[in-house]
Amino acid sequence: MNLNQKQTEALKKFAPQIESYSRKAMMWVYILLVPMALAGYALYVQITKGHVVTGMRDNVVWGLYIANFIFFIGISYAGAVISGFLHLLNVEWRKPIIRIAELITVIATLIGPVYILLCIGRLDRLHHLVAYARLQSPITWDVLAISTYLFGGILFLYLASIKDFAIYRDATDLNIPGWRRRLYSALALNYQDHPEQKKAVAVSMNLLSIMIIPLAIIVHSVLSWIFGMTLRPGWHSTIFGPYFVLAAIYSGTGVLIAAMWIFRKVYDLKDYLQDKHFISLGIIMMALGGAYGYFTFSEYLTDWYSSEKWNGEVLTKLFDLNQYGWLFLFANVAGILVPIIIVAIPKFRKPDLITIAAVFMVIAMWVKRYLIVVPTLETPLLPIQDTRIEYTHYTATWVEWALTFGGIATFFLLFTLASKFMTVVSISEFETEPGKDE
Amino acid sequence: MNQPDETEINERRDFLKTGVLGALAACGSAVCSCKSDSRQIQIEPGKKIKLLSPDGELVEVDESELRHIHKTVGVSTSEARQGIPGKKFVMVIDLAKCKNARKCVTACQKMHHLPEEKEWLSVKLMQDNEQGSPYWFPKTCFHCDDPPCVKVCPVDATFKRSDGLVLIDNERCIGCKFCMAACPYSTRVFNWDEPKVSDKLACIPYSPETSVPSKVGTVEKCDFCPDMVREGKLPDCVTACPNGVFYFGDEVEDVVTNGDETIRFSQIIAERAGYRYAEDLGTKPRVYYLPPRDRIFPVERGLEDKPEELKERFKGILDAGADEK
Amino acid sequence: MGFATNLAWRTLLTIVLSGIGCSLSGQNEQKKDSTEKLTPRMKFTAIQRNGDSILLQVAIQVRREGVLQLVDYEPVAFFYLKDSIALSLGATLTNDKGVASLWIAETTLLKEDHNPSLFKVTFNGTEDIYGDEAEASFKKAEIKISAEEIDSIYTIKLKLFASGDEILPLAATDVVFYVKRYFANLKLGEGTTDESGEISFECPRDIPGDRFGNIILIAQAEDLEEFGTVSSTITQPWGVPLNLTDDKISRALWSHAPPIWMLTVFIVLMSVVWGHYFVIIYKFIKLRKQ
Repeated sequence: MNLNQKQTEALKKFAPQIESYSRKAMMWVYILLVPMALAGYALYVQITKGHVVTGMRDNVVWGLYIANFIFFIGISYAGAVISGFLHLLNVEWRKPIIRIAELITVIATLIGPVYILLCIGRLDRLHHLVAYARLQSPITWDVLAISTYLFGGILFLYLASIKDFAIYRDATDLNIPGWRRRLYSALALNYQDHPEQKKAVAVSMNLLSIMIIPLAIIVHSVLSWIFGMTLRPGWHSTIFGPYFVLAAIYSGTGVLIAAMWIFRKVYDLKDYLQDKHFISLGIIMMALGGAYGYFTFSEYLTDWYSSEKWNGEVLTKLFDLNQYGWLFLFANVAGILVPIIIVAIPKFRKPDLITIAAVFMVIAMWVKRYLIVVPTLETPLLPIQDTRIEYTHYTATWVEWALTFGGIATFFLLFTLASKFMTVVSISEFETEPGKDE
Repeated sequence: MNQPDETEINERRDFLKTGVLGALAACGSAVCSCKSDSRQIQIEPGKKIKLLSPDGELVEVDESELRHIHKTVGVSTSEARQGIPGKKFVMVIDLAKCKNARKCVTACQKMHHLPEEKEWLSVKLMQDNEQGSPYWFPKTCFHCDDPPCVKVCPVDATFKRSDGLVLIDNERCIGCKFCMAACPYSTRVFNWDEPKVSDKLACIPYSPETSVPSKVGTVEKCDFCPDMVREGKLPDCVTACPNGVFYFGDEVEDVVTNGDETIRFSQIIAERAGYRYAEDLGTKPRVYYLPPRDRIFPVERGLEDKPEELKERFKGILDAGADEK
Repeated sequence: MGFATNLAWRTLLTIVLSGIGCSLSGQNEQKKDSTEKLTPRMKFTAIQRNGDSILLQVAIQVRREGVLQLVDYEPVAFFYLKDSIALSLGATLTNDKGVASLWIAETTLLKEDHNPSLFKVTFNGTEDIYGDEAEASFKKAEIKISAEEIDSIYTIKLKLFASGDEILPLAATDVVFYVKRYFANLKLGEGTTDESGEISFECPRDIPGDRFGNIILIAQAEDLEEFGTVSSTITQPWGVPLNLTDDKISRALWSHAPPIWMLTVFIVLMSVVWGHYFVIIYKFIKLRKQ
C-alpha cells in the first residue's frame, strides 16, 4: 500500500506503541493481573460452594453482577452508536477516535455477558438456553440480541481495520516479528487499495453502520425489558427501553472520553486526539446528559406524583438518606448535573475537566444501575417477614466485588493488549484529510 | 381356628414390606449413584409428632415414618408436563380460620424434605390498611393462569399444565432466577448451596411432580403436591391444617374440600366474597381467599407458644397494634 | 371442638368411626409382660355397597406411653366365619394411616348362611406389638336406587331395606345423598326414610359431569347398628357435560409455543441482520480473491 505523507508520519508516531511493550506497560499488565487472579479465585469459590458465597438471596436474587452486566453493555455503545452515527453523518473529526470507540464496543460486549453467566446457578446446563430456548423469554431475546450485536461489533471493528492491517503488513520499517506480519497479512485479506476493494469496504462499512444503530438500540431495549417485563415497582415502566438506551449511549460517551484521555496521555497523542475532539464529545455528552436527566426526572416524577403504594415504597428507600438517599443523590448530581455544568460553561470546557466529569458520570451511571436493581428487589409486594438479615437486605460479598474489579481489570487488560496489536488511531483514515493530501 | 401357616404369613409379610419400602427406595444403583448401603432403608426414630384427635386423644406419629411414605417416585418428566386430564385445580384459603398454627408449613417441609428455614408455604401477617386489624395469611404458590414466572423462563423449565398447576423441572432449570424476579408474590426459593439431603433421599429419582430431591443452583416452590393429587389425595398442607383453613379441589367439578367439609367452589366464593390476592396484577391466581371476617381466633393466638425467632418476624405489625390499644 | 378438629387425624378416624355400627372392639385382655409388648387396638368395620359388594376395613393403633400410634405397613388377614370355621378372604397391608381394607364380592360368601355375616381380621403382631384379632358381624341390607325426571326435576328415589331372609323396609333411618367428586363426595341432601323405607332427593341441574354429562350419585345410610354402612351408587347423565377442549394449551406468552407474531418478528429481524452479515462476509471472500 502506498501511504500518503500524513499516514507515513502517523505510522512513525505509532510504531513504538505496537512494536513492543515498554517497562511501564509490562508493569501495568502485571498490576492488572492481580485483581484478575483474585477474581479467578472468587469464581472458583463461587462455582465450588454455590451462590451462597454471594450476597444474593431469595428476595434480592440479582445484585452487583446484573448491575455490571447493564453497565458493560451500556458502555459498549461508545463504538456502536457514536462511531456508527458519526460515520453515517460523515463527521470529519470522528476519524482519530473511531478505533478507540469500536474497541470499547467489542471488549465491553465480551465482558458484559460474563456477568449474566455469573448469575446463573447451573453453568453446566448453559446449553439448555439453545436446546430448549423459549422465544417468549426476554433472556432468550438477550442471548440472541447480544450475540448478534457482538458479531456486528467485531465485524465493524474488523472492517474499519482492514486497511490498517494492510498498512502494517506493508510497512517494512515496522519492527515486528514475522508471525505478526503474517497475521496482519492474513487479516488484511489481500487488500491492495484497488478501487473495487475500496468500494467493497466502503459499502460494507455503510451497511454495517446503518445496521449497528438499530441493533444497538434493540440490544439495550431488550436488556431493559428483563426488568420492564416484570411486575415490579421501579422496573415495570414503559420508558425503560429508551431510558436504558439513552443511559447506555451516555455512559458510552463518558468511557470514550476517558479512554481518549488515557491514550493521549500514555502515548502522547496530542496531535491526533486534540482538544476539539474532547470538546465535540463533551458537547455530545452534555446533550445526552440533558436528555438522560429529562428521562430520569420524568420517570421519578410520574412514580412519585401518582403515589401508588408499591412504587412509593421503592421511592421512599431511594429518597431516604439512611437507605439509598446518598447513592441516589450521587447518581443524579454526578451523573447528570456535573457533566452538564462543566461542558455548558465555556471556561470549564477543557479536556481534563471534561474527562473528570466523564469519569464521575460513568461511576454515577454504575451506581444508578445498582439502584435500579437492588432497591426494587428489596421491595416485594408481600412483606418479607424474615429475621435473616441477608434475606431482607442485600450486601455484596467480597466474591462479588472481586469479580466486579476483575471484570474492570480485564477490560483494561484487553484494551492494553489491543492497543499493542493495532494503533489506537486508525492510520488509513488520514487518506482523505483535505488539503494535506499529496 | 383355621389360620394359614405361620411361615407363609411371615414370608408374605416380608414380601409385602419389601414391596412398599422397595418402591420408596427404588434407587437401584443403576438409577442413581447412591451409596451401596442406601438400599437398606433404616427408619431412624425421629421426632414424634403429637396431635389431638377429635375424640380428645393424643395420637403420635413418628416423623421419620411420615417421611418415607410420601414423595417417593413420581411420574416421568414428560408425563408430569401434561397435567391430569380434565382437571383445573383450585385452592380456597379461609382467612377467618387461620391462627398461624403453622402445621401447613411444617407438614409441607416434611413432605418435601425441606430444611426448617426453607418455606415453600409461608404464613404472613398482613394488615391491609392502618385501621385494619392484622390477620394471618397463608401463602402458597398461586399457580396463576397467566403466570409471570413461566412467561420469562428461557428454557421451559417452569411450565403451566393443563390442570392449572405451575411446576418446575429441576433437571432443566439453569438457575437464572428470572422467574423469581418476575413472580410478584415472592413464591419461589433458590438452592443457594448444596441442599442437605440424606443419601436415602438423594437416591430417589427426581420428578417435577414430587420436586424431590432438591438440586443446587435451581429454583423450587410450592407444587400443590401433584403426586398426591394424582392419586386423589389432598395436598399435605390441606390435611395438616388443624383448623380446616385450606380447601382444595377441582374447579371443573366445582367442588373444594378441606378433608372434612366438602363444598361447592362457586358457592363459597359467592357467599363469602372470595377474592384473589392482588387481582389487579392480572396474573389470574388459582388460589382464592375468603376474607378474615368473623374470625375464630384473635390474631395474637398465632404467636402463642411460638419460638422467639418467629415472633421477631412480625414485630412491627403486632407491636403497632398493641400500642393503639 | 366444632370443625376445629385435626384434619390429619380426622382422615384416620372418619374411617374408624364411619362404620362403628357393626364394629367390635378387638381389645383383648392379655397381660403385659416384662418386655413391655404393646396391645393393639383394632377397629373393624364393614360397608355394604350396591347390594353385592362388601368393603372390610380395620384400623390398628397402639397406645405407647399414653399416646395412640398408627400401625402402618403391617399385614393383616381377613376371614369369613362360618360355624367356627374361618375361611380366608385375603391379606393386605395397613396403609399410611394404619388402615387396611379389602373389597369382597358378596358371592364369596355362602348363600345359605349369611345373616348375620361374621368376619374376622387377624393381625400377627410385630416385635413389640402383640398379635390380635377382631370380629365384626352385620345383617344384610341394601338401598335400591332409581332415577327419573319428574316435572323437569331430577329425582332420585331410594328404598332402604334389610335383604336377609326376608325383605324388611328400614323406616326412620337417616340417609345421605352425595355426588361423587375427585377428592371427596359432595353432599347434596340428607333425610329420613318413611315407614316403607323410602325417600327421594332432588338432584341439582348444575352439577358438572364428565364429557358426556355423567355423574355418579351415591346414597348412603351410615353407621347403622345392625347393618353397618349401607351404600348404593347410580350413574346418571344429569350433569353439565365437560368441555375437554380446555386441555389444549394454546400459543401464549406462558405456554410452550410462542405467539405467531413473535415468531414472525423474530425470524424477520434475525434474517435481515444475519443476512447483511453474510453479505459482508461474502464481500470479504471476494476481497481476498482480487
